[in-house]
Amino acid sequence: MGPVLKAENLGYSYNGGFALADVSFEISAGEFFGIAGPNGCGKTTLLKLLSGAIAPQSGKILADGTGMATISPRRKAALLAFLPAEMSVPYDFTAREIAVMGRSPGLDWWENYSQEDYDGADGVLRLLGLEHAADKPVNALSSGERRKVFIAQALCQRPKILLLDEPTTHLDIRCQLQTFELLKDFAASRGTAVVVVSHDIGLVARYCGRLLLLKDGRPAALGTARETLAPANLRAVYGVEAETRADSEGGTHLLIKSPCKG
Amino acid sequence: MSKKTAAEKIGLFFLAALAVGAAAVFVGPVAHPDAAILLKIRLPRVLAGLLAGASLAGAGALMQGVLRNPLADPYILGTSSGAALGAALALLSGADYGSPLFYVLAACGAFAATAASYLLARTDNRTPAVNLLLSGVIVSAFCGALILLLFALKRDTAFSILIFMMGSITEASRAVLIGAGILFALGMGISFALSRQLDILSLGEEKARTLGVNTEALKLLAFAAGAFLCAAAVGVAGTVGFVGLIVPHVARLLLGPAHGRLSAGAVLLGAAFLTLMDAAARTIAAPAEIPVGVLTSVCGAPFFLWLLRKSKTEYKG
Amino acid sequence: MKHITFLLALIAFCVRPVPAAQAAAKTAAQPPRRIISLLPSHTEILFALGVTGVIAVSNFCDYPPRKTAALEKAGDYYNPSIEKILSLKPDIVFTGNWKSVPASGRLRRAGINVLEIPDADGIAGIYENIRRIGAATGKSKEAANLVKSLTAKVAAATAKYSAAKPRPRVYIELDAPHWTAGGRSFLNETLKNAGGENIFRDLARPYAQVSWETIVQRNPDVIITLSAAKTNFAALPGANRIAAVRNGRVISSLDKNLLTRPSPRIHLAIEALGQALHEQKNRR
Repeated sequence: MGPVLKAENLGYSYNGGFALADVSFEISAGEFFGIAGPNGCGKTTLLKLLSGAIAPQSGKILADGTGMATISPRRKAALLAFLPAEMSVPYDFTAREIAVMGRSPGLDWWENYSQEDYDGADGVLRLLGLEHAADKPVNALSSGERRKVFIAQALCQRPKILLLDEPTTHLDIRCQLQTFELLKDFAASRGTAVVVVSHDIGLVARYCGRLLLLKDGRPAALGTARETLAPANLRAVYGVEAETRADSEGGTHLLIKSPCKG
Repeated sequence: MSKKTAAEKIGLFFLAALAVGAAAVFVGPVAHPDAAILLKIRLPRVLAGLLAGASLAGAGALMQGVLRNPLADPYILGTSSGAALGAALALLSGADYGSPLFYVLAACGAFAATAASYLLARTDNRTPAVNLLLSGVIVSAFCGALILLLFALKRDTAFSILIFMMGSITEASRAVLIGAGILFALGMGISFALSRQLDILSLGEEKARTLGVNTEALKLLAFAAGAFLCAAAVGVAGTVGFVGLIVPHVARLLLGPAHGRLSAGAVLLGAAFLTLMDAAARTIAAPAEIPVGVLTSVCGAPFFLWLLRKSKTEYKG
Repeated sequence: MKHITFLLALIAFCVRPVPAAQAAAKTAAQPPRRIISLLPSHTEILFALGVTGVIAVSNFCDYPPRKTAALEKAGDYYNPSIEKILSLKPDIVFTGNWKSVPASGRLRRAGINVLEIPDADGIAGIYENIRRIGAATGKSKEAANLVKSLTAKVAAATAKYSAAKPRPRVYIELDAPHWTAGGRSFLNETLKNAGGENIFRDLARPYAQVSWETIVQRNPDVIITLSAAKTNFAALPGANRIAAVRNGRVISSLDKNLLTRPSPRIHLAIEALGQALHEQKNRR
């Protein structure tokens, strides 16, 4: 079985300037993959390419073996779930109503959500510890809970690939850790390929199996956390003196010492 | 709210609309009307009021959903100015006020304005919400300018156009009522069919696309349905303001934002509201009549004040 | 003490000398030679009095037709062109007494001599206006004669028609949809003199919209529509209950300006209405 998401020599430039070049990698089912790099390195652009929102100018993307350009919107929605960094909801939909929207791609235009769909949504909300919020308007929840509701929605899509853009901004530290643990769990238990873009290297190091490090739109390193976050790479990409340490269970922890001189 | 509670509420609104409609038949400037007046004159007028109120509220709910903006009203794409322009052209060409041709041209004007706003806003095969709002303003202004020009050319019909623009429910012939009814059914049919996807659209176009929604087709269909509904309303009541803005708000407060329920409630409340306003309009100053649009505006202003205060306190909290 | 001084200064600043007195003083000395009239009824009076020196009128002034067509147009009454009026250097401008239109104030501030004469709300008012305009243009004798002859003509027309039997009940539609003249309107008086009864003479306002059902219930014998935007009465529901529709007595051929303008042609208006109501049956 091939990789569930494959990028080959991706290149993209905006009207203003260049954004990405020579990006290639493969992600298998059940992997928790991180994309990291300093601000402006092209992470969000890469995620937009992977979600099919924009098309690459060179190279191609294969999702579940099919070229992204040729996948129908409906098939894409069933295959891929995307969580943007900011979500605003103008109307007071409840958490359950938002979560169940994830079931929409599987319905024909004349169909409506079934009781099964609602039960499934409730189940996912329960999994994320949100059962108390199911009937509350999502705008009345805390930002952490609101973020989780959208993760619940993405999970209701039962996608093969889950893409998240900065899922832990504005969350407190416990929430951040919980979210990443959850995502790692999903990847492992459901076989979903989870790709997360984050500027929090510590989290990425701790939870992601492999990661891609970007600098100025070009891949700087690709591999396991220990491999990619070697001191030399951290110096070159982030300009910091840092290293990773392994703990007794094999987990990787990032230790930051100081910014580079000069 | 559960499905059952929502269904109960909607049932209640249905009864209310029915009751208001029935009662309104017996309200009017003639103190003791005979059966002929009741059946031939009052009843069609009450039906017209119910239909126009329902259409406007339905159109308002659609526009507020598809533009993700609770301040949108059914005329936001220049529909009212287009309708008034169509009516002015009809009068200019010698058609009688209130004749089927008059209403057909008004309806065509409504459609044309909506289409113009949509096409103007289109860039790169996309129609961003901001562009739509702006093009609506432009089309409105343009139609308004043309109407003023027509006033200058044929001054004596100016007043009649003004009344049309203020909104007044005069007696509609059976043909016009049936035509409006068909447009209403078409518009609401499309609206209900799009419910699920409109809810998803409120999350933003980018996100909606990742959930498999064809946002451009959705917008096109929603605007078409909105145009049908506006044309139906304009056909029997001129361009009545505020109904399409206030009623969906109230329905949202009572039923929640899910488009299917919201529309069902809005349509019924709108029918009741406008019929009530029209009954008052023809009775308060009897034997004189107040244009119904004046009454709906009088109700609209305090409502907005209340809405503003409510949103202020929410913002603080 | 300071407050009182300030208040006095404020009042002194706000109070202005009454322009009408100034205008009256001016015309008493010398009849004006360059006259602008912004109200159609005033224009008709000016020409009826034989006043020469009318140099411009409003866009609405259309009688006498050849003379007004040849004149400069100074705009609409609600928005006269101040620059145009200024450029014509009039000795006096006749306007109406319009509370909602600041035209007079604007003209005065530009240094123009303005005489506000309210639109007559009855036949007696027309005579009053004729006298006023006559006094302001040095045509007092002509004005008195005109009033005398008009009084006679009106009396003749009224005598001819006001007692005619039967006295039809009339619905007058001034504007579509269903805007009519009430009891206090000028048209109501004309109709009375022409031997007709306005079915809405109980309406307090001079001008208001009415419901179709009221029209049906009151069952007029004659419908006169003066609206440029015509209503097809026969097509309305319940129309066959109205005697006017059943008997084909829906009259749309009368001149709206003649009937609604309080002008020196008032006797012609009574004649036209009287004829339509009493002498021409089944005329459309």
